[in-house]
Amino acid sequence: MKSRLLLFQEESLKTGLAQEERSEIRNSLMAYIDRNPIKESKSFTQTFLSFFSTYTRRGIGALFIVLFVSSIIVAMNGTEKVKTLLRQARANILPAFQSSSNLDINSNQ
Amino acid sequence: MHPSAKKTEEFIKVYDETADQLFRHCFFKVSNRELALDIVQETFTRTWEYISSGKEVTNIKGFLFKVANNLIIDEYRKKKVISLEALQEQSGFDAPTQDHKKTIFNAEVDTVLAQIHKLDDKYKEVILMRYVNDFSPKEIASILGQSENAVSVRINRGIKKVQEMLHLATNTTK
Repeated sequence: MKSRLLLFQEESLKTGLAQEERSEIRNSLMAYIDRNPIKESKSFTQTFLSFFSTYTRRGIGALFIVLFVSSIIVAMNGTEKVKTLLRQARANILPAFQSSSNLDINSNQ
Repeated sequence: MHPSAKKTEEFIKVYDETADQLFRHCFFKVSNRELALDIVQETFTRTWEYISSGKEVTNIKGFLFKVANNLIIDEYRKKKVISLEALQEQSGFDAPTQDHKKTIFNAEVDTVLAQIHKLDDKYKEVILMRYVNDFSPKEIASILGQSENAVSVRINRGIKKVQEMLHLATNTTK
């Protein structure tokens, strides 16, 4: 029995790829490797930087939006302030102007 | 050398070292040269796909045999669906028995192989690895991810089963 198995083993080991088959598979494997190279695994720093850059871009965008909106609000508030100042000014100046013009009229009379 | 270039070179080296063993393993399981060649190619392609995606393989030989075994199982499943007649009608497909006779001329060897194929998969696996590829129990254990002792026990049990079947076969022919 042992000799039968040994004979089987000897014969089996003769089975293998032919030279052409071997190089054919090798060539197609090389072509596949060329088409699908190893995707570089990123280091911690690279991962951090890419994360940072992505979020920096988003952050800057968000900041611009906030600045834009706040500047509009500030501008509107500023307009209101100017309007209030003008109103105050008109309220204070006009009566004075009117009274002075009355004086002038009176003096002319 | 760039790490990816080194990995590529190592993979090609593994191909050169393992291609024959893997082919023998597949050939003695599927009993069809063309199919075994396809499985070998697909095994290496899929393994590279896995490696190139950045995943690490600690036992490359074991990984290759595992992928090959999965592909062989897929083939068995396909065969269940497609009848042998339909396959024979297609060009380039040889029936398993004819293929064996092409390579193994010794009738004695053919008989042993026929009995091995009758074994349970768990025995057939280790017997083919031991006697077709000449792997040591230690190598088989590392490929299958099992203990050396378990593999040795399985090989011995498998041999005993083959012995019994061969005795039976010889007695019935007498």
